[in-house]
Amino acid sequence: MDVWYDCQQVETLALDAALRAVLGEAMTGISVGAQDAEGRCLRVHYVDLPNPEQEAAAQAVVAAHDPVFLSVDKTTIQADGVDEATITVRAASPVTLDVGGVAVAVELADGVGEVGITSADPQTIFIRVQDADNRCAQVLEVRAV
Amino acid sequence: MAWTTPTTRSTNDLITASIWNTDLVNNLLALKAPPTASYTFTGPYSTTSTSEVDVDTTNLSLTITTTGGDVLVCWLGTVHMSTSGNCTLNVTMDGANLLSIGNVGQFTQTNLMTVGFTALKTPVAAGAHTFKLRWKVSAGQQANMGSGMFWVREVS
Repeated sequence: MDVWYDCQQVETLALDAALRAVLGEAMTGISVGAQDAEGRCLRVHYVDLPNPEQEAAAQAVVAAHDPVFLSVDKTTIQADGVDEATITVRAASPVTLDVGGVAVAVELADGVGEVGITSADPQTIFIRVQDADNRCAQVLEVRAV
Repeated sequence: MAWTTPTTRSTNDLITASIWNTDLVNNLLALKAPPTASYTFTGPYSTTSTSEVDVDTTNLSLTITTTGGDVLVCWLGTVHMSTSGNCTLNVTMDGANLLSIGNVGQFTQTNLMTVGFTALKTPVAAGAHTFKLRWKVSAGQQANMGSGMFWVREVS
């Protein structure tokens, strides 16, 4: 049983996790990309016809969805303190990244920001969004060698 | 132009214009333009569903009206997983699995790759038939589909 919701930007795994937190086994997942006749492009796949409480809970999660999209230009850098990987952040509201355990606020301009990462020591640096619930499930990995 | 099974003729049979047009002209036109449906997509589509669902309920649902025979079903597209895991692809005809094995393939790679399949469904009874591209993933995974094409054509 599919129910369509209006949500133009979706960080799929983050929204999926947020919906599962409130719907549990009542849903089997979500799909995005296709559109219904009303232009809605998010489908929630329910096991059965959802009751009004489930639909309302799902609608609230979808409305609160505030996606953050991360990308990195290279996943390996030289451990020389100079070579730099650039993390590009796309979001509609402020974002703070967790870069190897260090909080880094991202300055956004027109919804896009960048963070440079260098390392003087060989290590693997994990980059994720702080307070990522219903925002971003991505974890980037940059190896300094 | 629909196919009409031609009548076997004998020596001295009168071939009227109507017979000629039915048996030859119209059938040649039918062979030139067999029942076909296709959709070229740019995506992106993605799913986290652990139950099999339509990739696109509207566009990747192709209906043709066949005259009875074989149908060639093809799909080609770019896909990748967001994380490790696998995605199962399937095609249904009129709500049932196209292939008796239950699906048409899987992919597991997180790197973008082009995959596809071709299947000859035989025999297919005359009438309207709907073919749908469907997919599902293992728990906690996300499958993604970029550009590609899905098409079906009666071929005999």
